[in-house]
Amino acid sequence: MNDSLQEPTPADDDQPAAIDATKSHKVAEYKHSKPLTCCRIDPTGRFVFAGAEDLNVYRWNLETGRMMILAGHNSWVRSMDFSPDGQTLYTAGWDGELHWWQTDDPVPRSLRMVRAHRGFARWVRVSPDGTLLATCGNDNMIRIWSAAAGELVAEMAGHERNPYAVDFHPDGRQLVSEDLMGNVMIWDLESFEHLETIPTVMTGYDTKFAADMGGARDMRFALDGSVVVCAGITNVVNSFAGQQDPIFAVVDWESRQVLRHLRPADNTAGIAWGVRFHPAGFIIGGVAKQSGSGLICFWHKDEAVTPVKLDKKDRKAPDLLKRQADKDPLAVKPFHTLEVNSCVRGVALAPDGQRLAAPCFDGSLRIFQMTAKVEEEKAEAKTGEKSEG
Amino acid sequence: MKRNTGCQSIDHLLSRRNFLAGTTAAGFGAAAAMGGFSTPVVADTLKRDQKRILQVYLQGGVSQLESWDPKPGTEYGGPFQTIPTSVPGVHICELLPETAQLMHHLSIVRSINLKTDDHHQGRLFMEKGRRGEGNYPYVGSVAARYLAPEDSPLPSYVHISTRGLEDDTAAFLDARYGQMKLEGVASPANLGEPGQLAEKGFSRRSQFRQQLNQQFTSRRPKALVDSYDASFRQAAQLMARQELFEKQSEKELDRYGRHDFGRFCLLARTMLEEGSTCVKVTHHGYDTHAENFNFHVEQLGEFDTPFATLLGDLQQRGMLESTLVMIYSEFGRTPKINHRYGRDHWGSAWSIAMGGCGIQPGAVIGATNANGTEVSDREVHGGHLFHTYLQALGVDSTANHDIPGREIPIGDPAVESIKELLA
Repeated sequence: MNDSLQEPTPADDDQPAAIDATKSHKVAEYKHSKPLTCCRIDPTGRFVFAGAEDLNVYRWNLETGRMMILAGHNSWVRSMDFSPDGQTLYTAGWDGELHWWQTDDPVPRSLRMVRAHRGFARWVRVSPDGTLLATCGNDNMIRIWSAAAGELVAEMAGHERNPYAVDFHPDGRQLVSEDLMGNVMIWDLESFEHLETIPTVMTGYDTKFAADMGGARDMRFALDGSVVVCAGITNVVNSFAGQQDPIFAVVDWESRQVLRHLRPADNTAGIAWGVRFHPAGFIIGGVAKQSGSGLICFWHKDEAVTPVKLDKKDRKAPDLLKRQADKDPLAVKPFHTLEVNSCVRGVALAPDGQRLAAPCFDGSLRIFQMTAKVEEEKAEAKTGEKSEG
Repeated sequence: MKRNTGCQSIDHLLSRRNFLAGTTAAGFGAAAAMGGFSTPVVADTLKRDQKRILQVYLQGGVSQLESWDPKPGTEYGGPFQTIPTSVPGVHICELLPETAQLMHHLSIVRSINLKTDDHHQGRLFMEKGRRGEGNYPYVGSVAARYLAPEDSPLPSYVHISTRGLEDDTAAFLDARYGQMKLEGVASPANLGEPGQLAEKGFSRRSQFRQQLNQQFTSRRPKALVDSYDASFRQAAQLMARQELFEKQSEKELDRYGRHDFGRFCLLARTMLEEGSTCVKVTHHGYDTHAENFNFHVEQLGEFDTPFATLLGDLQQRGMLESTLVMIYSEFGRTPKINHRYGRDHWGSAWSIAMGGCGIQPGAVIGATNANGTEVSDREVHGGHLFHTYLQALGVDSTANHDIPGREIPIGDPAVESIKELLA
């Protein structure tokens, strides 16, 4: 399912602060000893969960800061999702396993495990009605599971290289997946057949090292299903040294065309690891820079879905679009960028739309507030990291 | 030279002296020079028993934690699991499932400390058995010098790769023992006869060259001319074997894989079968400073099937007992995982695998500590490995090179072979 976000509705006696991404500032930081790999805030807004470069998932209570360990996987967890009611957490691990957990279990334990894939289980997403789970993994398969019983409902073959991520269309009738070669495949969820493949520039062949790099590191439909945004890389120069560019490809659902490329403000090298649509009309992207620091970028959705006409050369050879941001005719620059002192490996939104979580390489789970600072927060912020807002 | 008793069949047929002196008047060289083997039985035996090396070089530094020395669940273990192998109690990384089934043909050395994290220095140390830039021959050239028949039907030391790491592999040995580089499976450039020169004309030109050589060397040292002549001879032999580079069998490609490395392994099998003494195959793409885990999924996924197929074929064709198989890099990768999900250069505690001729199968030599940051048992380096390779092949690596007027130890006299690894 998509993050359970509602358009913020002001209350008479306790009007929430207006969302203003340009005022985003750090309000909390939860520390772990190992680098983090992903995070999600549960639909009730009580907890934030993170995967790490170890065998556990970590749950922090956003009110008290108390941390609990969810032990059960035998490898790193890079993807998780919730049931629509927020009661169940599903985690996919690089051990190939898919686990079920009770979100607020006082003593967290795995309720069910299925071996979802041979090799990594790279991604898990919950269908909009909460009845199905979709996973993808290193056996090149997309699998559909019943959320209630953990039974295999269908499996879909077609990717020739590892699929990295999947997402359900909000209407629940179709699914998208993207593989290492940047191919976005569309699947019908009645017949479980492959419908179409949309190529993107999100891949590259490193000629020096003779290997491919690419694929979606996150993918999200807009809340209205009009576009899906895929986070990843392009313009591979030397991927073994991390020299390629982050990109968020905006794919139009109706025309099945790549509309725009959301890019950082400059020609930053790195990887785009996370993307979310905010109901207030902007898109949030998390980036790990090659240098070791991170970015959280904000783009206007209207701009991100406005088509541009390509010149003849680019239309004839779309691979030419694998180039630096300032030379990319499809590029959209962010209206705001938050600098982070460590690589950002994902983004997650709180259900109130005000808070944003970012799991980072330095083991910190940073929480940002996307509103103006109140006076006491201003005072606290003096002790924080200036560059992080 | 000390005879290796674990890989000795050929010694029943040919005198050791013939190999060491490289004489052409007797034994294998003479048989080959006559255009083939004297009888089918002898030919088959010689083909099977000629000692050879298959080097599989994982360029850039394969991660020991993602291959031969996995440590899942530890501080730096990474995300992969281990799998059991055909050797009870020996586990390797899950990325090598087919190789795991053939581990009873291989052994692992898990305790290599080169004390360098530099690509070039690491490669030289692993190839020459000596640290630094000293002018010593690579193990492939040494093998070519002491194991290849004088009139080898093919270049004795062949390197199949997609791109060049140009090295002077022969050093002070004769140039004929230097590495011949093949850019993939395509026929080497200019292998065909010159278009404007008919076969007869080409032959007459060769005869004329030999005549001039004889005149020139009648009152002069002939070593250099012999070297040039050997190169011409090798070139002519290769020109006569153009079919080696023609289309590979579809059936075999189904087994090996149609990507470059699959094709290289298939060509390596052919070159070994047809008489090359050392065949090196390079698989690029292990210098994973970023995306170490995804790249190892890709690269070892590509490596596993062709390598296991080749190893299985060597065994099934009776060649493994006479073929030393090495799977190696210039170093390993750091236990610590960097901010790009990468591992950096690490020569301090890493692993290789080897098997076949003269190597005890199924052994695990040495160990690293619990989190893989240092060698905890039986530390070795490139010098020990160099002695081990050559002694496994029956070459006395403690002897001197056969260079007139010079005494140059074949292996570093300061170190010894890993004796417990020798069969």
